[in-house]
Amino acid sequence: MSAVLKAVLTAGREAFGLLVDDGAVAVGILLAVGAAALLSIPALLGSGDAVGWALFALVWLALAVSLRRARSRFRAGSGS
Amino acid sequence: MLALLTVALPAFLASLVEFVEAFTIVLAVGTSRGWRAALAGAATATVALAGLLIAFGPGLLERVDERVLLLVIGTLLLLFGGRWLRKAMLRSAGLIAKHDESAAFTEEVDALGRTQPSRTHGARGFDWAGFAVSGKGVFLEGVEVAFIVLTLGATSGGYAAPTLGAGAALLLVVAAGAALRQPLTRVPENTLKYAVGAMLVTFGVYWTAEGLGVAWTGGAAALAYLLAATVALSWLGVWWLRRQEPADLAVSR
Repeated sequence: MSAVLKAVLTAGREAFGLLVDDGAVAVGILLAVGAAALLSIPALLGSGDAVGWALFALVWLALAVSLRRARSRFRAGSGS
Repeated sequence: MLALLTVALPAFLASLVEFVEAFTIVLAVGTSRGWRAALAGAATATVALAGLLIAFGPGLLERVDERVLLLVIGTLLLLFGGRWLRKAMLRSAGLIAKHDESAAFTEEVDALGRTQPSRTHGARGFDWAGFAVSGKGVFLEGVEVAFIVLTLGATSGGYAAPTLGAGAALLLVVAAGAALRQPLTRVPENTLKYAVGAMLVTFGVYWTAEGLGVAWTGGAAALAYLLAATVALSWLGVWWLRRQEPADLAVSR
């Protein structure tokens, strides 16, 4: 039965990892959504397309940072 | 027709990838440890998933304010899709190894071979380790399918289209798996994951923005130009990653 318990614990950990396997990109995306929420107040950008595009740009910024980190790790790992 | 393209198709493609991976695990357990534990594990996981769908399904989601729902689901899709797209881009650039269903099968069989069947329950015994591995595999892959069906259904106004897409993928994998009885290596999983990742990020941006009160120019047509921009940027990203590193230096992750 210990195999079952181990599998249940692993499943829980992996299920959480489905969303945040790279913590940096997850945090970056959450920050992007938070920043877009701030931009959507009427005194700033309001409810126009600009907020949507700002969110799009911020999400891609988070992805770009994460990709850059992955590339650096790869370079360090391959010795180049 | 629009629902088929924008909801059923992403659900079908995403589910196809997950069901192929789940099938590989069940097949590995079935061929190396016995079909009884493999199928029992898969069936138990399916029941657990059904419970999850009922608990977090339409009944709960329909009671939430629409804008809050769009914001929460859009954010979850961004987290989920961003993870898929990021990994697919790294694979396309050769920075991490591509997913190989045949290798995954061999790895699973090897790992199972190191665990002795625990036949201590009853005269005929039952392989609990095989049951756990099969159940865990089906549950984890199934959670992703359930998540995609629920989010696409809740935000597109109906669960029929995503359920149809996921159901078609399940039937296809079960039929192909039963006929071939070997890992479904011909399914282009890496390409599918790339496409689905781009679609989920697109839906995520679209619905999160709608949850924040944004009225997109062109309404649902915005999905098309957001998808085009996402794909274009991802290609640019892969080109940038490839420019830095030769693809043949791929390392397994």
